[in-house]
Amino acid sequence: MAGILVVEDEADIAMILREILEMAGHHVTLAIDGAMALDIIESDPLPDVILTDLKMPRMSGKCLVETLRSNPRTEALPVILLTGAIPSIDDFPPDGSYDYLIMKPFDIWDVVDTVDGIAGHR
Amino acid sequence: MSLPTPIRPVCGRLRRRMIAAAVLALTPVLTLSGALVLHNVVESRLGWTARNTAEARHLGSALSSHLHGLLERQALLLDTCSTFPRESIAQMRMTNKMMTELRSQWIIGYSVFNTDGLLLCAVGTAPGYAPLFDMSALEPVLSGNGPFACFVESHTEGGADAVPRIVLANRVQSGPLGSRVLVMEVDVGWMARVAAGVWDDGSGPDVCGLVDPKGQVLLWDRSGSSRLILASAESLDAQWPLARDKAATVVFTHRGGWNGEAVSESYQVSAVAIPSLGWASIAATRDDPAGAVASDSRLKHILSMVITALAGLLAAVGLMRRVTSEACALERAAIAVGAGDLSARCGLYGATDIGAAGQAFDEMAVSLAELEQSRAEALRVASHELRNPLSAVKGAASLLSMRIDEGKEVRELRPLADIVVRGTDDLAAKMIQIFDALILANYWRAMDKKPVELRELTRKALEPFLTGDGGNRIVTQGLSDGLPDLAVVGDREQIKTVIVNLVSNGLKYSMGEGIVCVTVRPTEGGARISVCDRGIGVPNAELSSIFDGFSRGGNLEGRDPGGLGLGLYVSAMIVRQHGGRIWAESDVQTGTHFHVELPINPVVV
Repeated sequence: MAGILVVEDEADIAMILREILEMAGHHVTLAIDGAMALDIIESDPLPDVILTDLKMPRMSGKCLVETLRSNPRTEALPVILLTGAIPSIDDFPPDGSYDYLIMKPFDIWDVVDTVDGIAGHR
Repeated sequence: MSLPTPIRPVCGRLRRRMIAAAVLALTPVLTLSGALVLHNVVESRLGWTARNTAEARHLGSALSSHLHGLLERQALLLDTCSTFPRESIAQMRMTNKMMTELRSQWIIGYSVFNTDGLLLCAVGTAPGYAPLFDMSALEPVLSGNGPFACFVESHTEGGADAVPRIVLANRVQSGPLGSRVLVMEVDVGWMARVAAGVWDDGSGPDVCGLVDPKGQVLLWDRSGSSRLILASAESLDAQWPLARDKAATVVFTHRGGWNGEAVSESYQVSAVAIPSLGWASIAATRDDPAGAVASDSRLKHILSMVITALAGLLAAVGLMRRVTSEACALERAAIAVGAGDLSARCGLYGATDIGAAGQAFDEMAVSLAELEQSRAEALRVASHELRNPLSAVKGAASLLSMRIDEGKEVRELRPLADIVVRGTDDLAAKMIQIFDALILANYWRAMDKKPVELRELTRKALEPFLTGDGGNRIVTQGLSDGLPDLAVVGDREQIKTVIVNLVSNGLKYSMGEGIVCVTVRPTEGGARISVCDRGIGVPNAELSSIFDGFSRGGNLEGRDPGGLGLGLYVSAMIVRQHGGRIWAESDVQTGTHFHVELPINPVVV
C-alpha cells in the first residue's frame, strides 16, 4: 500500500481517482490545488506518489512541481501529471521535473497501473 | 483532388521587361550622343590641325618678311661699318640714327667679317657688343659655298640664362673692299610679339615656334615666354614633318622644361616650311583628347547630354531595382503566407504604390496570424474545458460498470450516476455556450424588443449568485425597491445573460476572494450597468482583446478560473445588438470595472 496525494480542483474527478486508487489498495489524500497540497506535504508524512492536475485556481500544478523540486525534502517525490492541457502549447513544468503524464480523459486502469508501477518501483 | 498550379514567379518577368524598356528608351539617346561625341572629336582634331597650320604659316611669313627686310638694309650697315669709328659730328649723328634704326628692327648688333673670318667691325645697340655666336656656322658663307645663313644662336652673357637670338649672315660684294660677310643678331623678342598675336582671341595652339636648319627650336607658349629647345638633327628628320606641311604627333623634350625641370610631352604639331630661309614654323596642341574635348563648348554640351543620359539610365536602373525588389518581396511574402507561414512579411511601407500594397498585405497577414492564433486558442480552450467533464463521465461510467459487475446495490451506485449526470450537464452547457457564440457571431439573433426595467431585471439575474456560495461577496447599488423604474427597450433574456456573464466573470477572476459590486444607474439617454471586482485585473495590453472569443487572462500565472472564455464575447455581441456599448477599466492591483451602457430606444446595428 502506498500513500497517494491527489491534487485536483474538479471534485468529481478527485472522487473517482480516490475510489479507484483506494480500490487498488492505496491510501489517498485529496487537495484542491497546489497550495493545499504543499500544506499537506508540510504537515503530514511524505506521500509515495503525487498525482496532480496542471490548471487549478490558486496554485497551478507547474508551480507545485517547481516548489517540490526546489526543496531537498521533496525533490525526489514521484509526480504524475494528470491534465487536459496540451504539451508544448500550455504552460507545462520542464521536461524531467515530473515522472509521468496522463492525458484527460483518462482510462481508470491506466491511472491505477501507472501509480502501482511507480509506487512498486519505490 | 488535383494540386493547384504553382504560382509562376512574376518578379523575374517584371525585371526583364523593365530592363528591356529602359534599354529601348535610352539606346537612341546613347547612340546619338556617342555618334556626336565621336564626330566632334574627329572634327575638332581636324579643326585644330587646320588652325595650327594657318598659325604656323602666319609665323613663318612674318619671320621671312622681317629677315628679308633686314637684308635690304645691309648696304647701309656695311657703309656705317666702313667709316667706323671716326668721331666727327656728322658721323656721330649717323651713328645715333643707325642705333635708332637697329632698335626699331630688333637688331642686337651686327658685325662685318672679311672672307678669312677676320672681324672688321662690330656695332651693337648696347655698349661693349661683341659677336659671340658659333663661327663654324658661318663657314659656308665665308668660304663662298653658301651666300646666306640663318640660324638660332644661344649663349650666356655674364652668367645669365641662355638668351636665344636669330643670327642672319649674308655674303655681299661692296666696292673696293670686295666680298665681306655681314652678320646680324636679331632679338627673338620681336618674334615673341608676333607669336603673342596668335593667342589674341584666347584660343589657338598651346605652343608655336620656329625650327632653324640646324634643328634648333624656338618655342613660345601662351604666356609668351620663349624657350630654346635643342634637338638632334636625326630625331628632327624622323619626327618633324618640315617638308610635308601636315600634322604629326611629336614628343617634345624640353631643355630645362617650362618650369625648369625636364619634361616630356606629346603634341599634335602642324609645321610649315619656309623655303627661302630653310626654316620651318610650327604650331602645336597638346595631345590630350580628354582635355581637348572638354575645352570645346559644343563638346561640353554633348558631354552634358551624355552625362544626363547616363544619370537617367542610373536613375532608371535604381527605380527598376526598387520596383522589382518590392514586387519580389511582396511575391515572396504572398507565396509564403499562401503556403501557411503566417509569420512571413514583405516589410514594405507606403512610399510607393507597391509599398502601399505591401503595407496592406502585411497588415492583412498580421490580422490573419491573429485570427489563426485566436482559432488555435479557441480549440485549445475548448479542448481543455471539454476534457474535464469528459474525464469525470468516463471515469464514473467505468466505475459504474465495474460496480454493477460486482453486484453492488443500486443506492451505492448513486454517487457515480450523479457524476455522470453532472458531467453530461456540464458538457451540454459548454456545447450550448459554444453553439450560442457561433450563432451570435454568424447571425444576428432576432431580438424580442420590449421595455425592460433594468433594476428589477438585475435583481432577478443576481438571485442565483446571492443564494449560492459567493452570495455574501456581492454588493449592489441602485437596486433598492423605492427607486424609480429605469427602463430600456431590448431583449430581456439577452440583457439578463449580459448581467449574469459579467457577475460570473467578476467572481471567477476574484479567485474566490473579494467583493463584486453591481451598480445600475440612469445616464443621459439610457442606463448604465457596472460590475466591479477586486480580482487580478487585466493588463492594459489585453484590455482591447478581452471581448474576443475564448479570451483568457494573460496574468493568470498558472491559476485557472475555468470556463470557455466566451462570456465577455457573447455579452459584447448582445450589447452591440442593442445599440449600446461595453468597455472595461482595469488595474492589476485593484481589479476590473466593466461598464455596459444601453440606450432607451436601441438603434440596432
